[in-house]
Amino acid sequence: MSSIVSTVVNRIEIQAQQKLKELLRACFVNLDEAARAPERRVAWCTSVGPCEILTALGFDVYFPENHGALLGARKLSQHLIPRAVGVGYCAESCSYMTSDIGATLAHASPLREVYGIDGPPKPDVLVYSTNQCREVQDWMSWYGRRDGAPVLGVCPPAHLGEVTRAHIEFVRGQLRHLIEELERRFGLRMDDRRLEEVVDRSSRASALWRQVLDTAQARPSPLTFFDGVIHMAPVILMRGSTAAIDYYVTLLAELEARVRDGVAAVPDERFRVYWEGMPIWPKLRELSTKFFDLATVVAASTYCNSWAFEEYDGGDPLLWMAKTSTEIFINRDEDTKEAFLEEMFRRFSIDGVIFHNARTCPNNTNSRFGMPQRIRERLGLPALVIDGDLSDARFFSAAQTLTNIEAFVEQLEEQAR
Amino acid sequence: MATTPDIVRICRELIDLLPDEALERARESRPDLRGFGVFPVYAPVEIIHAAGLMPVGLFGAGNRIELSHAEARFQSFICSIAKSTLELFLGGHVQLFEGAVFSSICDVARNLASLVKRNAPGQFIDYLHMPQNMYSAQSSAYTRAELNRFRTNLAAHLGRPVADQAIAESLLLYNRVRRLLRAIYDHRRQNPCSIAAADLFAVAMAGTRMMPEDYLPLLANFFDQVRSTRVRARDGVRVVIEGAFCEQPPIGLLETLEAGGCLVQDDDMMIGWRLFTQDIDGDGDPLAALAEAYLRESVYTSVRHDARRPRTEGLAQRVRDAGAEAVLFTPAKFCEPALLDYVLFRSKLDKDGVPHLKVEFEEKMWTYESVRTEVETFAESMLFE
Repeated sequence: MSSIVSTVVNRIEIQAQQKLKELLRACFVNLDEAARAPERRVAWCTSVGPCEILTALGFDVYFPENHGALLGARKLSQHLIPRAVGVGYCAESCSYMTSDIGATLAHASPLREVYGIDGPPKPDVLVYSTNQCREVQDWMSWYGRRDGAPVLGVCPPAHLGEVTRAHIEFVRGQLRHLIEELERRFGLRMDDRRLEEVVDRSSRASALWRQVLDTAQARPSPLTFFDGVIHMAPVILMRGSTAAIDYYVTLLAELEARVRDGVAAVPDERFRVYWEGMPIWPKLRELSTKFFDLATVVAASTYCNSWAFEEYDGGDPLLWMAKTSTEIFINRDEDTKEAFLEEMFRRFSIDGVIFHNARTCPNNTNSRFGMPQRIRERLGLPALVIDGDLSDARFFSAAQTLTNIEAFVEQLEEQAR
Repeated sequence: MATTPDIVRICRELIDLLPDEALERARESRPDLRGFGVFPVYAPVEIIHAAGLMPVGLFGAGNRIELSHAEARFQSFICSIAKSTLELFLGGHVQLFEGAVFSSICDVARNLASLVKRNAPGQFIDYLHMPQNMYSAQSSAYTRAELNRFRTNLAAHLGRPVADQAIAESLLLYNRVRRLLRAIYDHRRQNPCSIAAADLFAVAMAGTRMMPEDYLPLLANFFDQVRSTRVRARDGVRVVIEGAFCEQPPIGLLETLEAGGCLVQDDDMMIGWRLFTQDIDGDGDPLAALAEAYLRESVYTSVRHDARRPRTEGLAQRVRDAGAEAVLFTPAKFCEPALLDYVLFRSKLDKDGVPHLKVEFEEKMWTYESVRTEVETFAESMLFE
């Protein structure tokens, strides 16, 4: 057996977390108020969708994927998914989608308990980008039918190796068309200057978020993947706002101080692991505790980096939006993904890789087509594939997975000798 | 002149061939012919044909081969066409091919393309990023550019140009094939007893195993025979089959559906090979014409999204046009696009009062008793209501 000794050291919490809670409460209360105010409009948007356009046009933007994650984190998904299956959804389709639709059918939402609001705000319009998956289109369309709200979308070419000028122009044209549709349907007029400002703020928040994640390059790392999935909320939910920028300035300062002072997210850090794939929201605590006990830090992930876009340096904001939303990891071919991962492993001094095979999220799972094997062979990095799901805890076996992780760390120990 | 049973027998033999075997058959009259694989749903076969290659449909391998290599590379919950198509490449059944083309239909297909590419050195494996947005002002230019990229890369691989003129000629040839298929499907809509679903499926699929020049006379002969044959009408529930746009159902399943009391009036099988609703104008820029046809003159499928032409309306229209009383959903097991659309379609049919039944299938399905019972119960509940 391993020489691992269970630690008794307590985690040192990130102080900015309190501010984050306040920010999130304000965000959801504001959305609730927007949904109730006749003169305000709520737009639903996918997490890497064109939210800057919506913000610039004056919509309050809600991200339903966050609700799916929340349902997972609160261990509610497995009880709600059967409601969606009852109206025809496959139990193996995206569990964000099925748990969210199930919650709506069951009139249930943790937003009530957490923020004291009725639940997700009713949409005036739903906007998606299929740069992440096709499921978002189906998801938004379900609500569009239910609420009689228009559903508009952008569909970038998918699975790209090289991203060409033709790809970007195609997407930019769709964004322009989206603006025209929103203007026409809601009697609005886009202020180009305002769009530039929103995109600039979005880009600044994104750049700060990248800096936050990059602090994990330090050894010991001041934060883990499990911190990242909590602190990434503003860069998704408040993209384009000054609140997100202010928050990341505060968080970055705290993490840089931790690096200076040698404060470790995982005391006595021995190994550094990369997390590839979706978080397992219902099991974050168990996984976090296991890695903590194994003195192993999950130092970096593809998931948290999904909102670390390149910086906007002026010019056409639609070009920036088209480029960043088309170039994202999930929208690329296997070779590009592998090159990205290799660079991440180098930057974060990674000792081993964990691939999460998310049962209901094929689009954000990269372990099904030989990538772990290739990485093992080509880079000599140990890679472990764990079965689970982003929201549906029924696809996760705690005993099996935690044992596998222990054995994986033993393998890292062997390798280090 | 061959009789209908003769033609059906020939077609059934052809669709049972593995890709290399189909090519060997075609080489009996064209010894130097090389093949090019076309993974469903749609690919511009005209460009492939214009390059002097035989476009061959890659629809998996049915019961013909055991999955020994592919099982190790895929999860258990992946559709069978992906597994057996990979097995075809790993097992050396596509060796006489210059390459293959896949397109953006689902997550499995996109990863399959990468996997095949990695395991097929020397072959040209391409992935078409067909537009999902059909109505943007940039859609036409983008689609043409994508088709042109494929043409250019294929030509570079072959070391010879693929000229506009050759593509235009292939367009005219495939126009004739698709026109005949449309006519046969029209005839079947009017006379469902005249062609068994399994037979029409075999005849339509045989076109993916032959050069179009050889397929045309066979198809024309079949149509003549079918039109001139008097058949006895029989009772049955008139149905439309929906959901088999990519992986194709086993022929035994189609026979079971009809034996269970259904008369298939229309279906979406082999839809990518008969995608267009009318002839494509080959004059002028053939790639632009193909792009326009893809965007404007094509039937709905679950792997394309056209906000102006919802798929639910497409199915409702198909049901109306066929004069069908019910819909049989036949998604392949684990087919994400079909299973997602099932929710939409089901809700629309419920609203319209159209009965429906879902029957999932997979390649290695070999026993149909339970399906037959289900279908019989469904049909009898309608016939004797």
